[in-house]
Amino acid sequence: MHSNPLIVQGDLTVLVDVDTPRYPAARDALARFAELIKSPEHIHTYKISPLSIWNACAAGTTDGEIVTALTEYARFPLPAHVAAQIRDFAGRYGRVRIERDTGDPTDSHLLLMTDDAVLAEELLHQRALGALLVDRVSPTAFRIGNVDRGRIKQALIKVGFPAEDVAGYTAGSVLAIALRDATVSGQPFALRDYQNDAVAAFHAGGTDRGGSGVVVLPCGAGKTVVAMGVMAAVGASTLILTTSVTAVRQWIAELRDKTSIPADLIGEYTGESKDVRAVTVATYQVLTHRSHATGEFTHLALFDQRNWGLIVYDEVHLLPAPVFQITATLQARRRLGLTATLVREDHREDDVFALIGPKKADVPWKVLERQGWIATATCTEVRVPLPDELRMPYAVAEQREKFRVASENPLKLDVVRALLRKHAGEPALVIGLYVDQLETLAREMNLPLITGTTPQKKRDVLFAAFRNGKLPALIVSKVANFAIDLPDASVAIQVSGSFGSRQEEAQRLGRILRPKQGANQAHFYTIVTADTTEQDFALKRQLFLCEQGYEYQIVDVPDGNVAHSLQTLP
Amino acid sequence: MKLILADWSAVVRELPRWQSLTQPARHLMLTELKTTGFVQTVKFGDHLAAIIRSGMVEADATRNRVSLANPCRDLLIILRAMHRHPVFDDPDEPALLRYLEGNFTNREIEPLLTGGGPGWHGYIDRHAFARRIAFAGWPADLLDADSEAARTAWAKARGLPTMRQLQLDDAPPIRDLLPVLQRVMRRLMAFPHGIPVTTLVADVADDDATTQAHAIRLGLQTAVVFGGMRQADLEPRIGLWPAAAQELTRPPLAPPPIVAVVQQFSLAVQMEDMTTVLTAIAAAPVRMRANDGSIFAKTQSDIAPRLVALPAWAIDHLTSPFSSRPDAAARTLREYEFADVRRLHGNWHYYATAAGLRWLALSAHDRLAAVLTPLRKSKENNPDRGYESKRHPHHFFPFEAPFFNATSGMNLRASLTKAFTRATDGFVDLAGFLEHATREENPFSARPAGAAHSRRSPFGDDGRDPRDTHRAVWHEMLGQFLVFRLLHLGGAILGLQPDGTLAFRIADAGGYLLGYGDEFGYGTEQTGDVVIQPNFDVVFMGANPGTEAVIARFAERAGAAPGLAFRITRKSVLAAAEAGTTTAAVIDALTRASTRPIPQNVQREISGWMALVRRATLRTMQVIDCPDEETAVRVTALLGSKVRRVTPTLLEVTASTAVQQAALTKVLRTGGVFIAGSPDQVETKVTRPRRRRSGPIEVDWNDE
Repeated sequence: MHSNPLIVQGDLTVLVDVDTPRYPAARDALARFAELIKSPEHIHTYKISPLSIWNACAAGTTDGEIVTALTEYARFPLPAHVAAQIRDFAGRYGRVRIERDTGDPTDSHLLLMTDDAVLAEELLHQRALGALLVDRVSPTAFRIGNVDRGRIKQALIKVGFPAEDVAGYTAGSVLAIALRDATVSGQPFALRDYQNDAVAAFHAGGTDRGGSGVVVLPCGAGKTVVAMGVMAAVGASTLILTTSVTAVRQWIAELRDKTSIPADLIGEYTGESKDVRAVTVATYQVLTHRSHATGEFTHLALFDQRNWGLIVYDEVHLLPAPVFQITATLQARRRLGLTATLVREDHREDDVFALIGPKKADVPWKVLERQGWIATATCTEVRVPLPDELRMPYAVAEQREKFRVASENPLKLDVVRALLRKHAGEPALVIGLYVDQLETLAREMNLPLITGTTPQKKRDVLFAAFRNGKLPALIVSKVANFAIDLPDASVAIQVSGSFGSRQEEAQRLGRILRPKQGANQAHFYTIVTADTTEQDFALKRQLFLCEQGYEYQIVDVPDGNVAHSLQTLP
Repeated sequence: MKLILADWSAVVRELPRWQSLTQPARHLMLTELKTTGFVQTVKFGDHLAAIIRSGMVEADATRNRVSLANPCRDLLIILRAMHRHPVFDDPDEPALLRYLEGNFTNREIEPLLTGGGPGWHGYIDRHAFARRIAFAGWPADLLDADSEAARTAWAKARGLPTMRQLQLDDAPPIRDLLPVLQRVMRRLMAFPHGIPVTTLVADVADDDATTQAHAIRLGLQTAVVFGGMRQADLEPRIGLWPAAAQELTRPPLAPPPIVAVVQQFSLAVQMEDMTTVLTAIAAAPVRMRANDGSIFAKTQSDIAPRLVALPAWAIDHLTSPFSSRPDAAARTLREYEFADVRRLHGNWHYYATAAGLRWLALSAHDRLAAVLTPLRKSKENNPDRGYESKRHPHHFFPFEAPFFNATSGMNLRASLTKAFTRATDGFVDLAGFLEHATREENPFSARPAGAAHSRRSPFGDDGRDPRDTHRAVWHEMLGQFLVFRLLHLGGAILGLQPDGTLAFRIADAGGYLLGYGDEFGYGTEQTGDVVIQPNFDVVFMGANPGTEAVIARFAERAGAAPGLAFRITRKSVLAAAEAGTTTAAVIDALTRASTRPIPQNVQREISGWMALVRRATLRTMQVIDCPDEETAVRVTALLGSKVRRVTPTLLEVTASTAVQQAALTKVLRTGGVFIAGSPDQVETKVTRPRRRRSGPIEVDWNDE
């Protein structure tokens, strides 16, 4: 067996053989300067890009260390141009810095510094950048406006010269925050080692080298706790942005449960409430709401309503474009991004780098899984046949309707029933897209159903009951996909889904990947009608889950004998 | 020839007048003064007085005009001829051709080439003549004639005895002039840019000036010496052709030293390209263009990314400028019978033979050995001749013999083998290696008497000095062997020196080919482990072309090995099914390739996709579309087995020809069933008449 696990390809893709003795060390080395793209069973794929190199440089890694690490762990000699490209990418970092203009009494300007006059000339002649430069103070320095700090960083990254922003931050209103030793419910509480490391990496001792960046942790790894640790370190008024009202409420619950912040200093800013306090939790949706397509985003004024010392962007990979724009003007505030992946569907990763900050911490989920912090999950696709009476209606239906016919296959009911029986005693979620189907399931199995029209208060009651173990299972519609925190759910059964969105799958699994008592094992089932468009879309989901590293198996229920077929499952 | 028409004794006598002039004055003399007639004195400006003082011109009574002094006429002719062709300033081939054009007629050249014998319809190849006289052998032939007999033979070979019409009456006999000329030439050897005439004539103590002048004229006439002026001083000079002078005086070349290189490249490019192309061909037959046998552009662009990348500085020595790499590889594969062509769906395609598939399954070392060993074991000691040459890949020599009887009495294989031993210990400069080998260790130089020496054309030999031809031929042979048998097959390592020039050294494989050793190493032996991922990626952990070819039949290419090479998709599996591959074959291929278990979901999906496969037939059919079931029953009763029921009212007619169908229609008619559109139904049709140029218009009625 080869001991070196890396195969470095000419397009800067790195394949990693996890079944080699040196894999852990190679992975730790590689993760500093490459992004994990996919991690199916044996061979993981990383990608080295200018952005990943700049993230590494921001953390103090040199190009020599990168090339050395690749050479050290590569199975074959590096392609000739790889080292040169890495040196070229790395060489561009740090050549441009944004610093305080100590000579400006109005404190309304900053300095853009370059390391040589030739580069300064080149930047001056970049159209998008040149327009933002106020004046030239020396052959290698320009004066820029405070308000343009973010836009300049965006423009610099587009021309391939990422700026190191050491201009510092405004302190914001002081707010003393401490983490509890025990939660309000009496459970001992402390940050885990990797969470402490993430907080330290972000805060950097309060120096100007820290204070902005992204923490990348898998779903269920406790990014909220990391944020609370950062809030305690910063000790200032904080604005938290997240993806839904339920997530807002969960944040507020966590803050009350685990920090010393008085309840009256925590406000909710959503469609239902406009409460601005020292710590305010808001949704992206309310910030980007406007009465008509060309109207103003009136709620973006929230960013100016207090002297925020810290802004937390939850699920930063979902940051909507208007929030990017306003964030460009907030560069003087400390900014923390939280996410399970830096990969965005819209490929605006460079904007995240420029406007939120470089990656500060990244722990692979396999590491957390091995350490027991997140549950292992097995994924199973259960295929049921389409009943004879539905074959002709399916055959003649329009494409979209085909999907619905397949998704609402009545034979799925037996499968759900069998699975819940198989996992009796384990808290289970049944998730689906079509409310009619979910209502049928709820009625047949006598389980509560949460949909988009379920009032928030009722949702909270049901969630609480589920959390307390009083409800063995919940049936939820798409609304449950995002930001519901159900620590004790260990089984998810998906009866129908949207058209294979990757983020949707990642979020669904995130809901069940919590440390469990006992076996620490979670199960994700997706029930699919065989030989239909639903199976075709399920293939995309299968590929995604495999690439995330989940074990994936397929079980057929050809003759309706569900119990027999499911016996093959572990 | 202008340079010999003048009286050289007069030239030498009057030359001191020219010496008295400055360079600007000389320039004016050359540009303004004519051999006849007057020139306005104003044209000479401030230099008039000096020019008049020199005695080369005489003023008229008005003193406003001057004319050339009569004794200086020959001098001016010579000076102007030399001024027109400054061969010592920039002695390249164009300058030499201009010199010949300005100074020699074809009648003057012909005897020098033919020895006074008949030419070929008066055709003179001036380029060939220029090459010949620029070669050091041309003056060396006279310098080496160390007896009167030898000199006489030399003169005869140049048709000199017949050239009486160009001899001036007061010139000594040619046999007396030749030793003088030899002495002049020996003095000139040390001066590649020639010697001023005054210096040349004055310094030879054994001979008086007049005799030397005649000898110089003879030398100019026979092109062993050249006359020209340097523009810097406008001094008339005589000299050997500069390159020839340098060649005659250079010491023997030392063997090329070992040099350092900053980059190097070593790969059996031809073998690797053959592997890549054969892998593609083995996966699916590749369409070939019928007109030139090349692979279609789309397929070439699919294959191109999988070819080994070559460094830009080496590419000219590693590839052919005449065909693309895939095409060259495909041709070679056919020559080795690893691939062949056949018609498929009406078009020509390359396909892999059984031998090719066996070759593909070998390791890189063994594949290269399969290519090198037949060459090593081949029996040829010399290349074959011309169009009879079997220049197939198993022939040791990648070239043909350059001319008839070129290799008689020789063993070029031994000569090549010996020559390349100079590059076994380290890198040697490529140009230096070839230069040394062609000049100092040229097997053609030691050929037996009577062997042919030159390339022949319908016009006779090519006009080159045989020694020149030998160098060129040996240079070509070494170069072609180096490229086509060594570099292309990993037998030599190409290196780039710090100054950008190329060097090379013999690699293990080259030593094996040339017989220096019995073994060779090539490539890192890789396990070729293949990993089938649960996301359907097929990752090659090393090179394994045999497995690549197998998996390519049912997976989509996603990259090159090592690395992510394929992705198994529904489309690729169904395409394999269409070609006849079975589920068992696919799973078996994956199982054999991978040392790790095949993921369950991958096996399940492949099985599921394969299970979708059904084969149907598309065909046309004639049907009788009945208005109701009752009519269909009646038709069936009337026609029996001639119809087949498709639906209750639709019947397929099994009769295939119009005649048969017409017969069925008639039967139906007897039963009262009438078929619209039947073949025998009368149609009243009016056709537009064909108009004649003249005559009445005819109407063609097709009427029952």
